[in-house]
Amino acid sequence: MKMMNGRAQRVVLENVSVRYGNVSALNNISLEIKPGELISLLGPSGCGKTTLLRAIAGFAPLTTGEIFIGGEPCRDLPPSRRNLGMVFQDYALFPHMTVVRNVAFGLKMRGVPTEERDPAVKKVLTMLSLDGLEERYPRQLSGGQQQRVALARALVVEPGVLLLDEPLAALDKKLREEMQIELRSLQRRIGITTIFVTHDQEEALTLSDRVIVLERGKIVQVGTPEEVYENPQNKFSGLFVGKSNFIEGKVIDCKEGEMVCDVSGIGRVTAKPTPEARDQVQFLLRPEKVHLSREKPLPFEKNCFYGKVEHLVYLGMITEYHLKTEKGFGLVAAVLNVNQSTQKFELGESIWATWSPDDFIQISQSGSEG
Amino acid sequence: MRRGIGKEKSLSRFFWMLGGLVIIGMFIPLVVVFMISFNPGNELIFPPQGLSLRWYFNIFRHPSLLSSFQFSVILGIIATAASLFVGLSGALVLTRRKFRGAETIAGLLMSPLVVPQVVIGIGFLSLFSMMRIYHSIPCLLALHIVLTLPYTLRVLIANLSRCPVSMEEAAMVLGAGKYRAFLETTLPIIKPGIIASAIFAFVTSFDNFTASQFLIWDRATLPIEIYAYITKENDPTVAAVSSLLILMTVGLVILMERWVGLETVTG
Repeated sequence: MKMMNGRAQRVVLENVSVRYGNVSALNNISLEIKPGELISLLGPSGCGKTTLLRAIAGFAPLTTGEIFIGGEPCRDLPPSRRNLGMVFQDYALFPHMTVVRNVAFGLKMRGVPTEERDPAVKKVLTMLSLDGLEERYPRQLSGGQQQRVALARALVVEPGVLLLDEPLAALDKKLREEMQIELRSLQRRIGITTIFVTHDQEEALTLSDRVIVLERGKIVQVGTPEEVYENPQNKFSGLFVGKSNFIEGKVIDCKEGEMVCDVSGIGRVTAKPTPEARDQVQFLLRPEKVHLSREKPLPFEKNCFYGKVEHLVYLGMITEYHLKTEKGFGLVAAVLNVNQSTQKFELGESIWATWSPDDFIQISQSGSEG
Repeated sequence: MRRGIGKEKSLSRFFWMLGGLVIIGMFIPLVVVFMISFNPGNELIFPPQGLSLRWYFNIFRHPSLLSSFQFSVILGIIATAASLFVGLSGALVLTRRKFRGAETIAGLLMSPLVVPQVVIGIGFLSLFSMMRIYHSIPCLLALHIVLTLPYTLRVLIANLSRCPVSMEEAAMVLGAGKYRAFLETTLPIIKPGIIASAIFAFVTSFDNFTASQFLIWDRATLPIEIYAYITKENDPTVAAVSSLLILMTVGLVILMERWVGLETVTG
């Protein structure tokens, strides 16, 4: 079933900027996407992720810079000549055409004769388990089926790059999770370079080889899902991907592999020293790294925090505890519900929270606030 | 509780009766005209005193009625075609390009619906007199395009705003050029709207009287010819003509319902 192998294209963006009047939608983006790679463009709405996808597709004219698809500069190439596949957020299935005619459309536009079109369409419909729906109209299909048809229509022309604009956003959670896995295995099987736009950080982590975090038209971070989660490079990235506690402090002392900082609302905390740490430091702390206990921690614990459970959220696999100190500092801790003996805390109860100095993720302050 | 339900019932009965009266009020004149047209005597009398097709045959003895019918049909078709072209271009710009003042322009183009037709007619008359154009054909054509534009524009804007731009974009990514993408996706998707607005425009042009009467020099439209006829004669010929027009309109409405469904028209 490797129908498009070897055709996967490399996509290179060089200093790409897109401006609309005085509004800068994309600001100096440079990026290389390897052939066969699945990358996701992640960010909140208005961060430029869709504009970036549309720039690659040829719908957003570049103000500066150049996009290369398979080594070919695309600046002056209309969307129809870029040999792309694209799935739109609303699928954009042609309502006046049956499934077969929708899927065959790209082949028809490329002048492929009917007798060659039919087997190609049949093959891709089978690949996406759409057999038997050939003569249906889009309105007669379920959301998941429509999504597959959109994918089939994009893939049948054997594009060099597949662009997906939040294709799963309209599906309900269960179906979305199924489609994520299916999409990923399909993408691996045919080995097509894929660029995926999403605002759902979980989806980005699930699907991608690499995640590109965007904020206000700029790339904030590029990395594997693990890198982006474990090592966010700034506050935005850390707060957008997964949950984080944001802690800001003043360096008091730095010696013997320990850095002591004063954090208002908690007091003294200890972290690993980093060369760039000077006066003010900012940390992220993932909720799952925080340990909770009713007993006062032993003296060797460097980072202690006594707070009241202000709010708790039971999520099945984990329970989130929102703690607050007397001085009003808030901290979120997540406890994995391993078994019956997993300790449960009550609302309003005061408990101890501890974490290791290693669990602090120090972030650079150069990034934008937000 | 019980009384509440009773009240509701009588209220609903009241509205049913009101609705019935409205419908009867709408149809009675049509029925009357239809029946009069079969009257054998040469007066417009109701109820008819017999059954005869005499006045239908009489239409053919009046070339002015026939030629004005032909003129109205041709005028209606050309005005409709022009109005569709202008309306579609306008609707595309107004829905696809979000520019400042778009709403105002759309409002201005709708104004023939609210400006009294007498005013429009006199306006056109003064304008064409100023330009020393005293020919019915160009004047009526211009007038009818303006009068039908609100209908075509309105229906096409409604249709286009329900047809996302992503359709054309999808076609373009799949290899269609800009114009091909439009012809393959948007155009067939809004086809019902085009048919509906064409029918609306044609009917509007065909039976316009008030504004058109100011622009009659060398040719007259059917409604004006009918009015002229009735001022001279008092026989049921005009009833026969009207009955044929009613049948034609019913036919068009049935076609519209068949092809596109009425909801696309009112949407």
